[in-house]
Amino acid sequence: MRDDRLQRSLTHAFRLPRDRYRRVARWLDSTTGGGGLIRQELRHIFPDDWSFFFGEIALYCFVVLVITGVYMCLFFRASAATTVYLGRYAPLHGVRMSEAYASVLHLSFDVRAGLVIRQVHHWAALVFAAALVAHLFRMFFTGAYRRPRRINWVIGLSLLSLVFVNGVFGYSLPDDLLSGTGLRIAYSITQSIPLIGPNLASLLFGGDFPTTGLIPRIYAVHILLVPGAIAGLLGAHMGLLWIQRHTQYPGRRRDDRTIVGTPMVPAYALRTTGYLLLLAGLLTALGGFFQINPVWLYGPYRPWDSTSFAQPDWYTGWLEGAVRMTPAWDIHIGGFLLPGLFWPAALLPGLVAGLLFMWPWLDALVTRDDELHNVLQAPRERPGRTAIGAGLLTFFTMLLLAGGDDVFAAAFHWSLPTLLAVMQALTIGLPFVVGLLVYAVFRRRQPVVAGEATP
Amino acid sequence: MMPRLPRCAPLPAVLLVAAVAAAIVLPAAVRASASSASATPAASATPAASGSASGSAAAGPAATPNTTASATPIAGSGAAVFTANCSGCHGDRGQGGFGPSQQAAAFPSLVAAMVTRGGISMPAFPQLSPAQVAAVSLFVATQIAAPAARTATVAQGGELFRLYCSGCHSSTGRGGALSQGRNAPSLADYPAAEALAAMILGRGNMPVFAGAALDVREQAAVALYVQTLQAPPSPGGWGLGYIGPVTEGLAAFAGLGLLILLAVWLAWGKGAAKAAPAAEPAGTAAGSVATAAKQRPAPGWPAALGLIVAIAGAVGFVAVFIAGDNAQKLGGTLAAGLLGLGFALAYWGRDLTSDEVEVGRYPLPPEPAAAGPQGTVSDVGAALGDELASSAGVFTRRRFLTTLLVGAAGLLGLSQLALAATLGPKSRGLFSTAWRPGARLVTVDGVPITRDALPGGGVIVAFPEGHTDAADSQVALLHLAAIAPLSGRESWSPEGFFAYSRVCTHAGCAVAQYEDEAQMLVCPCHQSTFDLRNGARPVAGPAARPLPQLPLAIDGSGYLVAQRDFAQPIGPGFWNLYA
Repeated sequence: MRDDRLQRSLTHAFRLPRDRYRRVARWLDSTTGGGGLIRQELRHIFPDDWSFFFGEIALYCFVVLVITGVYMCLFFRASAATTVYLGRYAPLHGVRMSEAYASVLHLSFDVRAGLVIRQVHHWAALVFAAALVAHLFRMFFTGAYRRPRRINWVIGLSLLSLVFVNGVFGYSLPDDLLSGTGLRIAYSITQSIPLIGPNLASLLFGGDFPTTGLIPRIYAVHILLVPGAIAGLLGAHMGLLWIQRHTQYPGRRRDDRTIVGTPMVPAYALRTTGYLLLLAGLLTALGGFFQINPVWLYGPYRPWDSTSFAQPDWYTGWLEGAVRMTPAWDIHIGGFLLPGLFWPAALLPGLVAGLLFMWPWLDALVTRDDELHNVLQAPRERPGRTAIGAGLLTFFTMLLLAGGDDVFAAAFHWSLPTLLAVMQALTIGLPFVVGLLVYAVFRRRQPVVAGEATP
Repeated sequence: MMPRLPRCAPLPAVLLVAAVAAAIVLPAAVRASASSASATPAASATPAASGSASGSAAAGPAATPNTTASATPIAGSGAAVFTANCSGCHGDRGQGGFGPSQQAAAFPSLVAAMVTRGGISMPAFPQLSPAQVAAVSLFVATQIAAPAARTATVAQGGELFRLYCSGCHSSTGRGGALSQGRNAPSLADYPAAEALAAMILGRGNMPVFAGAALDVREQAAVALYVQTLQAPPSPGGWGLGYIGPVTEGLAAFAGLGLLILLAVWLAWGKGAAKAAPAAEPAGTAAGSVATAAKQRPAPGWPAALGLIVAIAGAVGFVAVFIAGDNAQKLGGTLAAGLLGLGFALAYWGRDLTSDEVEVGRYPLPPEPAAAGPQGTVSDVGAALGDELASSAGVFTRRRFLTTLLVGAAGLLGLSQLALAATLGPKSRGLFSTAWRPGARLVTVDGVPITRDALPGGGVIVAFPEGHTDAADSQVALLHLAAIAPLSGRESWSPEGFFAYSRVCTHAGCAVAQYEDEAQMLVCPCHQSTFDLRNGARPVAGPAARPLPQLPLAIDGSGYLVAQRDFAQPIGPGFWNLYA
């Protein structure tokens, strides 16, 4: 009798004649043979909450990125060969540059709507990364990573890492001054790894920096390898989500066995499709009205040029901040050197990734809770975890802000060395202050009945 | 049941407001920074002039050539205006005096903007009529400036700007932060000719850029480029202050905030909050309850409105596309179409569907006893184990086969790692550069550098002759007559010429900021600061090793040459650097 409800909803939503619906249903049955299963899954239940949209934002940003990215592939030339620019942007007329950079200028100035598409692509990447981070912290603060969703937590973190990495590759492709500066730093970071560093850098980048073979290499990785991996992992992520159903916040009649929410067809499907288009519209508006990465102003990369306000895109900003704030900690071990760059740029992201990947198991270990959970926790239910999360969030925010310290110093007339010292102190101190504060507040507001263990 | 406020509803709103505010404040603050940084004596000296000065400032440098064209100046009157107003400071033939030389002022637009707006040390001349301004501008550009300077182009200026200027002032000319609490001003707030004055005279912490670093033609080119940067040709859209990815990140979070508000709208009043199921599912396997919408049905016109906007957007986009290339119009029409259609669908799903909530079951692993006929993954595993254990002979053979399978597959996979060896050509080596004994120092254009190169101080980016593309060999050549060389390096700096590797020992960026007063080289990437009074040792920032010094000599013809390669590897550290 489930079909009756699907039929009723569809006819109500679209004023669909009953016989039309029956005809479609029969056609589905006869062509797929799985009509029953399909009709059941069409009523897949999605609990409602605004915070569940972060994943959707990320997914739809990926859709926008693929569409705009394929379009840009038709115009981008992944070549470091030198050419002389003769396009429409007069201030670079006659300048020698790579074919890659020239093709980005061509796309931006000579291809109709090319600039809008390029800017939509870049805005989508920034929002994509922001949505993924928000998604991650939503999972963290509500305990969504607990059994049976540990594997999906790991897949999600892998997706996050791949998106960050591919963002860096995308930032590098136009071969403008900021691109090249970023690649130069990436080369130096690789070089800082003990024992294998210099050879690994030479292997990955194709020789001593700057190498001519790098742009085609990054291009293949950026448009094929990583997006392919993202698509595959996204399929696994959503496949598991589909099988396990979505988590839900506690509420009437909701428990670990019973799920309450909106059925996919028609209500949820309409809303989420609408949301996809709203997101695409917002990104298009950003792309049309706001310039992003104006590479024509940055100029082509030459290794002897450099610029102030040399920031990466925001999702790499926390590493930039860590690199700026870490003191000159070169370590000498028996005639060998461990460069100071290694700590913030190679070790820190490794530690952060390790902690996050292991978090579900650490959490289970501390709370001795290995049960299946489909109902989420409110942040106040677990003051310890919430305090740790708030501390981490503060830490990353301070790192991110420090990554733009020279911009803030120039904008607000602060002394950069003073600002740096303040940021260093805040980065170390503030996470603990915020964590303890959050713990104290939530600890007091803990309901009396709470039997939950707190780490 | 009243729709309950979404969880943490204020959070996205706060995020949104904060990001938007920051995205607006930051570029504005940068714009304001230069003007408040150095209180302009010109403006304070002639307060009456400030009104007209700012009035013509709004017109900008782009407008001044028009003035020149329409005012039909006479050379004679230009000369008269020059003699009456300019020669006192700039010399009777513009050769310079109290004010800088006008040899590089080869473009009327540069002169006109300076005369009408005034600079840091030069007052505005509001008493001159537009015709007089045009006349004197043309006179200076054609009669005073060096003929060579008139061949300067914007593109050359851009290349030189990114070599010498963008390290402090940023590639967009919007300024930057320096060591010891100083800041480099934005170049958008002064007439571009002010850049000429700064290059010729130096300006506090800013060194002189003249002679072999920038000759008059190159100075003119840089000034032209600065003028371009003040209002760069824009393909459309707001530039977000031209201060790089920081404001872009803030804007992205503002975008995320808007998306969250949309999500709040979509989720508001939905689900359990809106209509908790009234009846129990009566024990069905995947029971569900539909609560018929008893409320007044939502109106359909908002969806219709959205769809009409979508149609208008689609038509508008094609029309705009045919008409021409305009980022705002293209993006605006397409965005309107997408937003209209998206709103209509979202509204439809939110308000025009029957108001129902489904109740279902989460898939849970069956109790061990109650495993269904189809079984679970662990059932299959157990069955497989039974199968394997059923016969001891089969078991050993299967285990051998399994081991072999894993080994073979693994080895085959690992063997393909050999392909990786072809990825990186053999490193030329991190231990040497292109500097050879006797190699002459040349500019980026390949011009050899003599002992007369830096009469007024300053810096030249130099390369070994024949290797102007060798990134690892770039050096900053400085004339620091007052600084004593380090012991053991007394013979490395003949006549006070010091050359330091320009590749930062921290992360490899070009160490492009040379602070004349502070006597520091600073890397714009991570602000590593190297003290030139002490062998370019790092005194602030994350770099730990000094910039390697290139031993110099002066050959018989007066050219600067390298004695030999650097004594230690240049650039960022690696584990066997001291090997």
